[in-house]
Amino acid sequence: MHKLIRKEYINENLFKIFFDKKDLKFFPGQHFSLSIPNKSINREYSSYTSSNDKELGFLIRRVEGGIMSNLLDKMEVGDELNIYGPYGSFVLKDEYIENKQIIFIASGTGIAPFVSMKETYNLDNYKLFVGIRETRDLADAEKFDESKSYYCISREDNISKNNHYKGRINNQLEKIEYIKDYENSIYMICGNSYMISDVYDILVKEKKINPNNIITESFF
Amino acid sequence: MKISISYPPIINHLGQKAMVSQNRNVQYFKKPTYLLPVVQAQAATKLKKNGFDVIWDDGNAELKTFDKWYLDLIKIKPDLIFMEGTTPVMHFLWDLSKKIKKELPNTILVIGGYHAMRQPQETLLKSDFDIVLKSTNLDFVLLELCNELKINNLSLNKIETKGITYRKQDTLDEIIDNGAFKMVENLDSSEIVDRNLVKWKNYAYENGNFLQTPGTYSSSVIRDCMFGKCTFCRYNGPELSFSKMSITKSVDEYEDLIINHGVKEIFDDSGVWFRGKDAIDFAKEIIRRGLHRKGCYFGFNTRFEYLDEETIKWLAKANFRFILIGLESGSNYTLNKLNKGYSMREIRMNLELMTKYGLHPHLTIMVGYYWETKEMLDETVNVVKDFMFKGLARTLQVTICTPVDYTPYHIECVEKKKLIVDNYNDFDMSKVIVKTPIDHSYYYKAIKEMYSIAFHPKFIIRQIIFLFNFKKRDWQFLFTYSIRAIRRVNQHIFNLTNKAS
Repeated sequence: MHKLIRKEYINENLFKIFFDKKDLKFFPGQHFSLSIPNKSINREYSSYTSSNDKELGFLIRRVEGGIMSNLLDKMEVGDELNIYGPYGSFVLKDEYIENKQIIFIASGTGIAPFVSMKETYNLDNYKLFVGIRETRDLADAEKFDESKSYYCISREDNISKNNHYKGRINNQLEKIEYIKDYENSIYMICGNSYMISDVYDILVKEKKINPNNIITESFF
Repeated sequence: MKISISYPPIINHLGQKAMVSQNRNVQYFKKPTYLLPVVQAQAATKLKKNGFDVIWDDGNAELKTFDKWYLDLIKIKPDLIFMEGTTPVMHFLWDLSKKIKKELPNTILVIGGYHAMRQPQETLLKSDFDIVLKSTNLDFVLLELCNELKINNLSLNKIETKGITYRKQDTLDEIIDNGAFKMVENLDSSEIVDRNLVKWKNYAYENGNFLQTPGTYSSSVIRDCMFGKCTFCRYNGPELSFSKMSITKSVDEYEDLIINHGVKEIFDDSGVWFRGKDAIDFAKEIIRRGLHRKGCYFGFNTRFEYLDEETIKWLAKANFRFILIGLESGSNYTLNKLNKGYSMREIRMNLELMTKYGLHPHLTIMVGYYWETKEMLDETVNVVKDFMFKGLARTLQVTICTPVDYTPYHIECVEKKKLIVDNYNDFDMSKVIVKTPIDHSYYYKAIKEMYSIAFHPKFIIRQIIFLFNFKKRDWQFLFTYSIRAIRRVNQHIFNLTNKAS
């Protein structure tokens, strides 16, 4: 069992939750299955903290009617749950870190594995595209270089910061040539399946990216 | 352009037919159950809707002999034939491709399925297939491919469609890989199966999982699996992802099946069905439309702990019945080795909840892992007996875990030199094909013992006790389903011993 150490709220529906890591080891981008005792429910969440941290953190959006996210929201410091894993192959290979420009594309809490990757490997050769509904949903912008990150905000009209854009990620990817070295890049896409499907079409059909250079992780 | 989606009848020396079974591997059965291959049926529908002349050619479900099936296919002369297979039938399909090519040299032969998609070069080198389709989104890939072939007058010189590996027409030894197809498709643009096209009634009766007939499989709401990490499972690999259909689209199909086709049981064969909010919203939509009062049961595949009490309550209210769930072992060590993500404690609790609300859990159990000791095997047998005697599960199927199709478990067995056979034909789940710490006969004995639970007085008494819930499904279960169960148990025992019990 892993003890809840702390929670941090970004807004009332978006929070970070940190557990005692014990001896769990993982590669950034892998996910864990969280199981709440006596509730007969488990769900998978991507790692959010660095694999070097003492705590194991997750970025959670509380969904109206969502069962697990509401149970996690109600958990208090000292409460315990089972953590199984890590699982998955949504990870950065050494060759990507050394030789490729890494393009992170996320919607919502899909940014979590990218925060883990950035923090663990102290990456410099990346670009980050994040789709959120409102500025208040922005998580961990300070962890990424402002000149390398682009935030696409779908439900706000007044956009004030330089790297903030109105609209969805696919609109931005279509309109602006942010990425100079398309061919020598690896594309990691994480978030809801509709976003992944749309972005894939843009990258492959319009930008002629080799699909073998696209790696996806669908949230659900 | 004439396209045939073909399933040849494959019959072994014991007169058993190759059918898709647990973990979607091929297993031979004397009296097969006919399962509608749903994604392939969606592919056929998509092609037809886009103007192609589609032939749904399932020789098994149409009860054809191989010769009859073959002659019919040759007579039709399709421009393109799509087939699929897994490890134990690859040799058969490779040989078949050569035979067909001799008769129909201009027909393009396409193969899909988990084996070929993971080793496309092997299939292209060892057969006369022209194209290997490497995606589980085969409905989308096939449409793109057929559109392109049609424009290029069926030329195989240069194909742009992603998700295929092909042999160039002008230089026969050159194999071109077009890279991965989109892993995540928007399933709302997949097709709802055209029931007439796929002759749905051929699959509506001979299926042991239906308590009432006619039954059918719905168009899957989930492509691949949302968990997708169990090491033995086909839904595991970086090339597989996950996508889902909207609830409204799926319930529309249920409504059509019940009202217009008179279907009495609907099963969704998605690797793992909806969970949590999606599952509750689905159940509410069924109730809102009054479909729960039409005498039709619903069922699906799931994982332990994907259904909490609230969800189970709603499912029961909406007339869900059959819950197919993998209990790969009764040993926590094995569950952990397989990356299941839960332990026996959670499994028991989840089964208690399903039973409390009147659902009928069906356990799919496996034995014969290369590390499985006598103690682990006994744990499995004992826990299965306990669940069945206590009424925590209603039905079960047990198979030998066979490493296939380059799943992580297969790769692990190869790397650790645990495989004791190298002929693909031996991967048909009829015997243990890995080195194990105990004699293989222990696993066969365990399988027999678990199947025999159906005849144990404690199990029968439990079913009689269920009658006092005064639910139709419990009465049907005891008096209708048990006859089928006897046949089924006999068949499984025959598969292991070649003798009916």
